Amino acid sequence: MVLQSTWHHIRRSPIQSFVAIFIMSVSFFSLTLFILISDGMSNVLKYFETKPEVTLFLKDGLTKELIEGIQKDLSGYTGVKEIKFISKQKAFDIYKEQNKNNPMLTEMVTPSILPASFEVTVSDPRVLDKIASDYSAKKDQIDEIVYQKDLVNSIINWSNNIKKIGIIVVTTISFFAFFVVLLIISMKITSRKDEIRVSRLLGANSFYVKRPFLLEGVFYGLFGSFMGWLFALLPTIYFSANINKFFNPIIFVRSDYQFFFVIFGLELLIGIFIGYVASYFGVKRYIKF
Amino acid sequence: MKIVFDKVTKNYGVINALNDVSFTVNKGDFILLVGPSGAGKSTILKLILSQIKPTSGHITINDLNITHAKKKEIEKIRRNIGIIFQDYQLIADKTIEENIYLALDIINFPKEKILQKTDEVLEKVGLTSRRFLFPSQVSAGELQRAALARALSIQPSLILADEPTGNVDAENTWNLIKLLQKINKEGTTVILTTHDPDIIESLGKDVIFLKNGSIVKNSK
Repeated sequence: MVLQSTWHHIRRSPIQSFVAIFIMSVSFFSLTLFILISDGMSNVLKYFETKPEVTLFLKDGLTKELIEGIQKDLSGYTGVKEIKFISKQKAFDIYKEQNKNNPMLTEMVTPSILPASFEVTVSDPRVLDKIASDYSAKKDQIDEIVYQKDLVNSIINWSNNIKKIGIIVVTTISFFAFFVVLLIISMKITSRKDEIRVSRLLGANSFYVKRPFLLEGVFYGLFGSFMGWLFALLPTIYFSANINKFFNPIIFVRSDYQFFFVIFGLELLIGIFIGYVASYFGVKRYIKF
Repeated sequence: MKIVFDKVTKNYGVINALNDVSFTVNKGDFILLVGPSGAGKSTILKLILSQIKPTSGHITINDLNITHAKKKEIEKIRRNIGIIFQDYQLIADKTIEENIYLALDIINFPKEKILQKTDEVLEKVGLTSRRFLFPSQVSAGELQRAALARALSIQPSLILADEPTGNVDAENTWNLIKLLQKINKEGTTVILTTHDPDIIESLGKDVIFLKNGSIVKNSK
């Protein structure tokens, strides 16, 4: 009977119910997107953080002895894991492989125009700072140093900003959803005042008359969180191949369904909480008899 | 259900709705509360339902002083009272059948027997064919019978009928009175407020006459 009454309330004022579900859905749509983007950004960050590398591009015309000397010097740093020498020819091979579908680009390039380089991988990222600073002074040997610290810092900044904006947006919309549900439940209570009064005179206890309104709030939270989650997830899954191709080789969107259901479970709990608390305040404020 | 009013006074601000009223209603009685508008008839019914509290005096229902009763005790008493309001007060967006369901659900009537009980009371008041209609879709006489069906469905110990004949024709009035008499003979206490002299005369029941909030005559 209580579920019947709740459904009855929802059905009898479909526009109000739609607005409540819609605003809840928007709120959880934003939250789901925010979680997915944050997760993707954290994967990007992890990728660069777990690849502590510095690339030293050499000036043209260095002798073999000088190149071997640099290699020897690099191996003397504590914490260096691997030193890979990329000759001009090897660089050209890599370039050709990367652009094999575009013959125009490969035809115009010869090994001589590409610089040779050292790719230095370390086990302790702190040593990267030292290598970069030592070699940036050797202008006669080193043409350019590509050091991922800048990139990592930039990603961290982006990631933090996205998190901040996400938290502000989600919190604002959640508050909005809370007040919309509170307002709608209050309006419904006001419009059903006679029914509540008659029910009380027939012997209904206070909880009996409040229950359908509380359940209605919970329903909005439950259904809104489900819809928001679904509408954010479906296009994400649909475009995940394209998104991941763009970030290749980083997996920006996971194909981990367990992760998606964890988000859903979490959002369901938050939705139920928002719906229940909003309707609780509504019934507390308006059902006083 | 036994009801005792002991020197009950009810004031609404400066307006004196009931003044030092005392009477007793015993189990199985059929009492008529008679008087002009503003005499205090409805105030007495509201006091019995604990919708309002007396300014002074005591009201006892089945040995429970409801003036100081807890919410739960009042709810329990209400579940034993069938009410027929003057304007019937059926819930507008529920069908006749759903209105009866609601009353039965409130008293925790066994779910599996609700349908059977609804059939029974609707048949008793002759509204079986109107069960799926909304209050706005039936006549005043049918509304009155629907209200009676809702009151009867909970098998109450007491029926309070607040001028239930005010909005219906003579035929419906007498049908209701006959039904109330029948229910009373089965042991249910009935308190009926009216100012219809025909009803008072023909019923010949115990009558409490009220005027300006005071009992002017008690034929009990």
